[in-house]
Amino acid sequence: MTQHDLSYWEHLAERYFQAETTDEEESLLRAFLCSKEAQDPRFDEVRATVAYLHVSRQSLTPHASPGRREAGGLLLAIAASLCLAFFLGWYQYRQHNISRVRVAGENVEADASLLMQRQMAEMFNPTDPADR
Amino acid sequence: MKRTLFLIVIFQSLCLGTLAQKGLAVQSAFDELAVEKNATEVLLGAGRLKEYRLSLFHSLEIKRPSAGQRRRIDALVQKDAAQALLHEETAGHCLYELPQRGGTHCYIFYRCTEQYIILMYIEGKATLKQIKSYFLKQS
Repeated sequence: MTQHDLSYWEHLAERYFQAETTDEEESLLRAFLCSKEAQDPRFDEVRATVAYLHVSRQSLTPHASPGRREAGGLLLAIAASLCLAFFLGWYQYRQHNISRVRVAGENVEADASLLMQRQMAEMFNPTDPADR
Repeated sequence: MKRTLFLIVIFQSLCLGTLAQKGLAVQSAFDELAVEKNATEVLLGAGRLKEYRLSLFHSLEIKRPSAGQRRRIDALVQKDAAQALLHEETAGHCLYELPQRGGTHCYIFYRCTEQYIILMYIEGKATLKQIKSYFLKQS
């Protein structure tokens, strides 16, 4: 890079501080500041400023503002509550209408209502002599 | 964190509320013995028991029970019977009315013979008299 080039970058840095540079020029300036030729003390100030802004943007961009974080949390809470309500509704409905017969721990196809009636009848009108 | 814990506690209490006989000794009988090869477990929810004014029917029938099974169930039933409000023990069966849960009657019916054991846990609005009259009529 020539001395003229360095003058150009110096001028660009000056314009950068005056906020007169375009986005494209700022990108070029950032690239130049990383180069070997830019390790001149004349560019220390602009390098520090550009680096600071770059790091600041990077550290701030991924994190939402506290207000946004709160709104996100609220949305998450609402979504979780809806899921919970849906699950509980489904669970209650399932329990309410449950009809299950298990033999030796395995579910079997059988009429649970009929079995209940038989067992109740057996309870109150035993056919076998009681043993108790 | 506190909110999450609060939600978990609410969720668990709602779920556990539906496991009606939770906290009773006979729960162990349903848990342990329902998997035995001579066991039949019947579970009916309120939707299937409207005509009887019941909200839960859970029974365990064990055919040709071993002496150990008979002793185990008998001990568990007697444990719950100790807190029963009403006992009815005849030669044929034992009926126990437990303290109400949320305005719902809770019963344990138990019958033990050489041939079979029937253990029932029942919940509902129906009184013991109503249940008996209904099923006596059925037979």
